[in-house]
Amino acid sequence: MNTQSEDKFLLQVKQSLDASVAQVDGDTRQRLRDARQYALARAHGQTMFVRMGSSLAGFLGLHPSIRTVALAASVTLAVLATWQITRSDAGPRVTDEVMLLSAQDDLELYDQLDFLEWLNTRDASKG
Amino acid sequence: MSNYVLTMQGAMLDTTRMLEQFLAGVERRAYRMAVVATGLRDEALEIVQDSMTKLVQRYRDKDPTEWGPLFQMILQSTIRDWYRRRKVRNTVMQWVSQHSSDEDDEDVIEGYADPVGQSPEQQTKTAQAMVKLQQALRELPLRQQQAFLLRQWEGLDVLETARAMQVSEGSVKTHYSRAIQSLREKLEGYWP
Repeated sequence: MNTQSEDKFLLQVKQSLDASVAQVDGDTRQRLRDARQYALARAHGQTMFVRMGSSLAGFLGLHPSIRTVALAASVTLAVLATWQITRSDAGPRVTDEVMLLSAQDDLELYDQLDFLEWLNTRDASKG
Repeated sequence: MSNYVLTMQGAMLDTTRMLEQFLAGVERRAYRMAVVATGLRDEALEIVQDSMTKLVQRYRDKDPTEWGPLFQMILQSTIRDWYRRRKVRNTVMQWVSQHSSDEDDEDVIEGYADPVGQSPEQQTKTAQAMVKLQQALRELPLRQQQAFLLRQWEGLDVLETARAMQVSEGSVKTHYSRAIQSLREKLEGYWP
């Protein structure tokens, strides 16, 4: 296979893939926008807890370091979770949401530590 | 409310805006990749949404220059998960249909028909080429598909691709080379 014809082939493939992105239909674009908003809203839900935790730390006169904020956020979360669960109309869905919000992040982050370390090394070598 | 809290809130809003901009810039390409991998529009949309949610939930506080590689890693990982789940489900379904005397002859592959639902007649010349290309890509083994799309379309180098796919660099080179060979054979009738 000669290099020139391979380059031409690969260019055609790339152009075709790029064109396919432009041809994504309106309904799909809307659903992608919805998906994006959903993802951001989930994050907003989490930051609300952090913000509440931060306010609680301030109210208690604690230094608002990250550790303190995280601790206060956990306390806030636990109080809210307990309140939700003890309500007579609270179902398993609420419990699931709380568990998801409180437990998911850091475990996954630790799983990816070597990747993050690689990113840092790469950036350091570029800089 | 203290200045610290106000500053934090401002920073969160900035991050949200930047994240939205980032996701808006990558979502359609991610969708196309997921369509190639799954062959199904709804499944592809779900994979993209899951990937965006994971990125936002876990890595929003990382440096924005890291979001690109992280998003690719999450997307490819989510696609692989989907692939594994489908494989298990198909195996179970096959076993059930083999051991069932009822009229449970539903074709589990039927659901994987063309997701776009557009006939070649309705396409422009470019779109026709895309249909052929998408078909050829879909027929590739998943690893070849990922290596090819990440290297050729996303423009990642071998090391970055290896990280996103969580395989060795040598493996990326092999998959990429086989993918090109296979695609050329399948598409030479359509493209010179």
